[in-house]
Parts: sequence; C-alpha cells; structure tokens
Amino acid sequence: MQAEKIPYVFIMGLAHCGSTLLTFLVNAHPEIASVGEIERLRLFIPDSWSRKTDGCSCGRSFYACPFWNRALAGFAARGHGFDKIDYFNYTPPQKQIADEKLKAFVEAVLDVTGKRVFLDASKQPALIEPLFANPYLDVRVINLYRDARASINAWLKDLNPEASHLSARANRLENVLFRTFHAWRVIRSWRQKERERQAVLASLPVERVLSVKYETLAAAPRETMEKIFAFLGVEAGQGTVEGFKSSVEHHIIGNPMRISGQERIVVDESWRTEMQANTLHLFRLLGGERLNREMGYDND
Amino acid sequence: MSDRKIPYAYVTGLSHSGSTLLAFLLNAHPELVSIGEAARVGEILPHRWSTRQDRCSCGKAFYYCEFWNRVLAGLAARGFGLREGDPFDAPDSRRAYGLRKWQAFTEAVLDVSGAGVFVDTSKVPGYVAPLRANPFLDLKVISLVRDGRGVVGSWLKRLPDARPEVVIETWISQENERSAALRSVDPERLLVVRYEDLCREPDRTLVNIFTHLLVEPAVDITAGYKSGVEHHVIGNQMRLTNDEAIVLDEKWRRDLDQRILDRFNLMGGDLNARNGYAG
Repeated sequence: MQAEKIPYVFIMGLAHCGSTLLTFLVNAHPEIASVGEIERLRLFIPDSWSRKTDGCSCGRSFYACPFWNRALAGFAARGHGFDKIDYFNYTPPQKQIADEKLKAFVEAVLDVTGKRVFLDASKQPALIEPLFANPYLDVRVINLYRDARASINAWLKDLNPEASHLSARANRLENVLFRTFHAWRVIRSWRQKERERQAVLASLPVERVLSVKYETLAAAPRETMEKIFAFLGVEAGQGTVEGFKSSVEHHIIGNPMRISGQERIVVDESWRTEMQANTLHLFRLLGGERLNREMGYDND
Repeated sequence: MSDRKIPYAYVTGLSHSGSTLLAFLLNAHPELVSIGEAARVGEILPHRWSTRQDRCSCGKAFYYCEFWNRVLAGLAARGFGLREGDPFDAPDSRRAYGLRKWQAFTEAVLDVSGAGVFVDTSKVPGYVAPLRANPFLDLKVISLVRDGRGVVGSWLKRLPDARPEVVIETWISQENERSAALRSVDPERLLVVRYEDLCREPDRTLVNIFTHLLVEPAVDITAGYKSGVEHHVIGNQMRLTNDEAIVLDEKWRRDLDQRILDRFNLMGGDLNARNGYAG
C-alpha cells in the first residue's frame, strides 16, 4: 500500500493552552476532521462502552453516538481495537503496529466524516517524534502557547483546588507554607514541560510548524483561523467562528468546554486577579519570567 | 468484560444441511441471536468495509448496516479489530488473545442484540475443540444432520463436472471428521437435529432446540420468521430472499440416478444408516 500520505495536524502545547477551543474551531472547517485528544480516547471509549455512560461532545454517550459507532466499526474492520492500557505504544517493537493502528483510526474517522485532513489535539510534545516517523502520515504541527502565568494559575486550580481556596481562611503559617510549596511544585513542573516543549520545537523543520498564541486566537479568532487554514492548505473562508459549536457536528475529546453550550470566545485572563503576589514572586525566582519573555510575553 | 460465561450454541453440519435456515429460525427467538456463520466474519467484513459492497441479510451493504456498525464498534471498544482471516486461527503464543477476542466479539453481538445466547452456525467441526476449550464460553452443540444422499445431491448440482464417487468420498470423510469432533462433546451438551425433521415439523423441532438451550420454549416463531424479525445472518443465498416457506428439499430423489444411489449405498450406506437414514 504505497498510497498518498494522510495530512495530519498535531496541536502541541501544555495543558490549559486553549487546545479544546482551537479543536472546535478547526473541526468546523469542512475539510478538517478532529476528535480532539486521541491520546485520551483510551480513557473514554472502553469505559463508556461497558458502562454506557460518559458524554460525547454531541450530547449523547459515546456508546450511543452514531459517529463513534461508525468510526469504531471502521477501525475494527481495519483490524484494530482500543487497547485500554496503551493505545499508542510507540516503543520500538510495537512501533509498526502503532503506526498502522493510528493510520487505521485516522482513515476510519476521515471515511465517516468525508473530510481529508485529520487534526489531533493530544498536545504532548513527546508524541511528535514518533508521528514524524510514521510512514503513513504527512505531519504538520500547530504550536499553541499561552502566557505562563495563565497556565500556572490554571494548573494550580486544577491540581489542588483546595490550596487556592485556603486563602479564605486566615493566613495561618501552615497554610502559607503549604500554598507556597504547592506553587513551587507546579511552577517547577511547568518549567520542565515548557523546556521540553521548546526542545521539541527546536528540533522540528520550520516549514512544518505554525506558532499560535492563545491570546491572539481568542482576541481575533477569525483572522487567526485564516492563518491556520492557509498553513494547512485548506480552502480559505470556509471556517465558522460564530456558532462554531452549534452549527457543526462535533465529537471531540477535551476539557469540559466540549459539553457546555457556551460559544462566545473570550480571552481568559483570570490569572491577573486570581494569582497571588507570592506565587508571582516565586515564578520570578524560578526563572519563569525569563522563559515567558522568550515566548514573547513581556511580564507586565 | 464480565466474568460470567457466555451461553454459546454451536451448530455443526456439512454444507447444504440447512444451517442458514436454522440460523434464521433461531435468530427469530427473542432470547437468541445468530449472525450465521460467525467464523466467516474475518473473511467477509474487512473486505466488504473497504469495498462498501455486498449486502447483509437486512438488505443494506454491511458498511451501511447499523447492526454491524454497532457490533464492530463494540468489538473495537473492547480492544480488538477484525483482520482478514479466521478469528479462531490464533497461533499458540497468542492463544489467550484469540480467546479474549472471541469473547469480546460475542459480547458485542449480545450487547447490541439484547439477546442472552449466541448461536454460531459456522458448521466447521474443527472449531468444536477450541470453542469447548474457551474458558469464557458456556458451550452447547447442535449437530445438524441431513440424509447423505441429499447432501451429495446438492453438492453434485454445484459441481456438475465432479465424479460422483469423489463427491461421495468427500461426504464420507467430512461426516467422519464431524462425528470424531462430536465425540469429545459431553452428551448432555449435544443435541442432534435432523434437517428433515426441521422442515417437516419445524415447531416441534424448534421446541426441542429451545429446551436444549434453556430458553423459553413456547415461542411461536415459524410464522414470519424472516419478515417479522431483524436479521444480520452470514450464510447462503437464502439470506437475501424473502421466501419464508419451509419446504423439505428432497430433490435428490429425482436428481440422483440409480447408478449413483447404488454407489452411495455401497460406499456410505452404513454411515448414513448410523445417522438414522435407511437405504
């Protein structure tokens, strides 16, 4: 089978960089199909099938969603199923199977949707190298990034929502210490992931990468999407920004925005009010400002 | 996947013994589901998916048939896909994989159909042993027999250039292979069904089968057994026609000349008599 390679777009970024929003906007284009973070399918599909619960972004359970039934049937008819443990096991002995499996899945989705370009919003930078080595795919990368302070604030809330609410209770010493320790851990983990992302970015052929700032996307979605469509070589002017959720069928794995009815695109800068002074101080101390400046943010 | 053993009924018999008819009749029972010759799904579905051709017995192409879409999706969600080839043909090193895959497939079909017992009319005797050894299945076997002269008559019609002796020889060896496979089956789990009884007295014969499979026996299904029920059966051409009459096919009495009948009695008369068919 020496057929043409399948156009495959990968969103690279850290958690809370706006990838679910971008996925919806891209999937609204008639030539591009996306099911969101395919690396996470294994967490949803097998469970949904056995319990018949878990919501697809179309509003049904995955089990009852006709799209997923047809896509998975096409996947099975191409010889593959979902492995609950490692859907994309890229270690060498399994590499060929993983390549074929991914190809089968992408083909099944494109077949059902009638589209020709596949977008994967899995985000992890580590997944990119094996993708470029996949002989069936023609890979392009959208490098989606966001002000580090916004990411860190979201992670802080995500990882330990209690910690950010502790402030409500007096500034008792142990609370302060606990919060600081928690923030220190989160900032360090962000710093490590950000360095990893930049290292992967540096290794990619420049003509295959388009960098997109979350803030620009949310502030000027129409213009940014046209830039993305041009990069992906799909027809211009075919995207949908107003009503991007309700006017197009979506079956996307991502954050909870996939199941809410909210369609207004706003720049989320809640970190400006929520982030505490000592967290910002810690951010500065750990070299966050320098990294953030390298990404093009002036830390104002 | 659940740990409860799946009730699984396997029909053995030679080709042209009426297994497609039996698959339709059993599938019409609300507690039973049959997709016909399950062992052929690997040979049929992947190819039909890529070509989008060939009709399922429901009238749609397999690719567009909602039942098959849901079954295959259930299979994929349980971790398995269908490759071209035989679902039982798992080399020893992957035996556990093959067993799990078969369990997953059966579960997916039962889940979509809402039935409790899976009926497989693959017929091939070689599958009795692996099915019996599958720890996830609770196996019962139905041995579907037909007068050897009827089988030979049908085969000769399909192969008009074949020498009758060769065809009779083939019947004998296949019938021997089948009875050898059945010797390993616990007699309590085995029910012999004659094709002729099934056609002459379908209701009574079906009650015997339902009782054997521990499902509600008092269900009248022969009326409208095709048109009244959704079928997705893999088998011979009768799956695509609307003809619902159950007619005993004894055309061999007319088609086989005396010379062939004499050869048959000489070569396979004893074997046929063992199956209960007098010369």
